Amino acid sequence: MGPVLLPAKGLGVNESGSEGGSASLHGPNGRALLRVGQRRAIHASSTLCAEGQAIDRFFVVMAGQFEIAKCIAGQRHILSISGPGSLLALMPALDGEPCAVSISALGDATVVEIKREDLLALLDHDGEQNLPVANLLSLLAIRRLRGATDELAKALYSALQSPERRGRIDTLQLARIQAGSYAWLGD
Amino acid sequence: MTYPLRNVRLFQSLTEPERADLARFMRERKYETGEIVCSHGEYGSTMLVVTQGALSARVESKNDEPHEIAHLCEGAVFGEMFCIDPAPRPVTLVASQPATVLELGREDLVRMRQQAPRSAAALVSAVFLDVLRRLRTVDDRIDRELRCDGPVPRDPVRNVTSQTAVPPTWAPCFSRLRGSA
Repeated sequence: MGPVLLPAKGLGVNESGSEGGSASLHGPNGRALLRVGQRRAIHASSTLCAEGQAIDRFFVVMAGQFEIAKCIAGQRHILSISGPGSLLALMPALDGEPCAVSISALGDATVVEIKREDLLALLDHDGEQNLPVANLLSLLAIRRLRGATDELAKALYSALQSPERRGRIDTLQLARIQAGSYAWLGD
Repeated sequence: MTYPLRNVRLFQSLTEPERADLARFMRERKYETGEIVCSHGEYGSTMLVVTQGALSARVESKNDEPHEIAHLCEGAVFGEMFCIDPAPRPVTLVASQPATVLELGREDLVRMRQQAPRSAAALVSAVFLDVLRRLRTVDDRIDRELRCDGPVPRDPVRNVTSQTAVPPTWAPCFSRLRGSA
């Protein structure tokens, strides 16, 4: 089973979400988030974050594609590919823990780079933008956590049902679930 | 009414005025022993904070017998994600003894956003950071498994209090497995 190509749904216009309910990066909440960052051109094969590296910024993909990869038992595996509308590496950027995967540009790409300190300052600031950004990020995080939990439950169930697996989840399947926490997709 | 919220870990980052605002938008509900607070599969849009007594979080096993996966004591929070992003409840909550909860619904949060936006932003940010922490827990567990540092842990029933970390995110997975195996 090859890498999972995540659909580029992030550019879908979904302005009609109920108050606080839109996870679209092109809605008002998304625009509030993008205003915090800086647009950057990324050259093909450039690495946004390396496996094991700590970073202090995350990225919103505006154009191009990025591969999420991981070294397992000495072999590099491409776990997924993310396109426009994806939010990359938010979790390690905010909690300061090392990235468990590497994220690299497949071709020339454009991202909005947002620094941790700028996002935290915004969330802490008593202004008009902190609530929309908090809404968006909390929705994305909640949906990713639920997604990860569902995927794990299914993987565990399959492993338990399979006489060959004997309760052990397939390693690549587990790694792909992990990769999903490094590439969030808006509506 | 803010006193019960002061000891809730999820609200530690809120200031006292923000907790006061939160309390203002919450409603108190009382449950008798055995009374169902919410049911598995039921569409949920509320967050609950246990202020007195205890609730039991249960799933049904294959023979329809309820199986407790968490015990929510005073200070525990359930469903903080649901008032932001409503979804079907993954468990049935039952009062294991007479219990009092503070409830914040999605509509209450909408009003809070309009009337006390700073406090609403503080609450939503707190939930966001908590969810992020849980995602990291999942990530760490997966990494340990990938590095073969140990078997996938089995989660015993845990007493969840305001001083206890949020139940590991493996727990819902295992609870579903127990229900379907």
